[in-house]
Amino acid sequence: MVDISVAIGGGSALEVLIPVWFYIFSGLAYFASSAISFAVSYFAFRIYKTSNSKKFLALGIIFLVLGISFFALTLSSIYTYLYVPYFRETARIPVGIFNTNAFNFYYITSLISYLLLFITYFPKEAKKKLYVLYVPLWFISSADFHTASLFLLAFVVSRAAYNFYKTRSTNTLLVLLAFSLMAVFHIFIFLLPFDLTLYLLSHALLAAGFVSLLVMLIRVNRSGRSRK
Amino acid sequence: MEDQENNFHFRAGKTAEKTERRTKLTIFSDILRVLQRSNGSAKPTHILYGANLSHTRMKQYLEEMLANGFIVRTNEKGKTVYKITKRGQEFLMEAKKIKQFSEAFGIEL
Repeated sequence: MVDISVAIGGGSALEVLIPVWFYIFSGLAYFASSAISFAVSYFAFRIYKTSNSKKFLALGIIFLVLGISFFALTLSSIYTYLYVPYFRETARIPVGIFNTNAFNFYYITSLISYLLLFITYFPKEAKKKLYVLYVPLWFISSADFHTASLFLLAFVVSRAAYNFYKTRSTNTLLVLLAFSLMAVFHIFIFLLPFDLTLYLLSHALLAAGFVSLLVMLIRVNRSGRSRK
Repeated sequence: MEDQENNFHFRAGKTAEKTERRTKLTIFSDILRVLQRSNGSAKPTHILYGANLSHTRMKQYLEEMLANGFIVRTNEKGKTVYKITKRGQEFLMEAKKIKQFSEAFGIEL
């Protein structure tokens, strides 16, 4: 078994242990997530322009930042796919400063977007109690990052579940599914030391989560076309 | 599962939303909905009751909608009538998308 602190680091140990073709898969999953995030962000900004609602401005920023962070991981995956075979052949440790920077960028930006998402979903009447956010927002390793992400996403999932309970509509279910799968992605990354195939599954679920957001966007666009 | 999108209406009047403060977007949509339901045109009194507005507020919103090109004011048999424009219909469709999107995320407008 691999040491958890090393294995979930997204750094050198994983680059050695994970078959190189996995990175094509993860790269595609990150690219899909990034593109769909940008689409959601564009839609939210459009709503902000029409309605002037600050919550939609926040939602636009959240998905824009998330899109940028997943795009950084797309580049990192492409880089790893291209250079890891060379590093293996030459028996050099494939740390790669580019990858380290890409992952650090991802940690910071996605944590910012999750934090904004948490605040957006925090009940208006309880905004003074936002001190709960002091809990795990610092991080020194990827394990801390995934803990913090899970903490923030768990709250967002609970709010999305409550919204689905109230409305019982397909679109709210799709959003709930998207946030839940994002949370599952972080759980599976934690479990990676026990089974490396979870790397594939976690990325497939992440992409599936964003695809459900895309389905929601398509449904919303189609609904606008019917004049009834 | 019952899909609420199919039952979507820009409802005004005696609904659950009545107690909540309506945004300008919702009020514009309510007015345009009234016009659309009445084959594209309606008298001010019809709009007043259909969109559940006071006379002062209705006048204010209609002026704003005229300026935005969502409606036009015409005279039919000596009476003032408001008609929905193509731009108004587009706005109504956009408002429907906005409503669905905000509902999906559980974010109020």
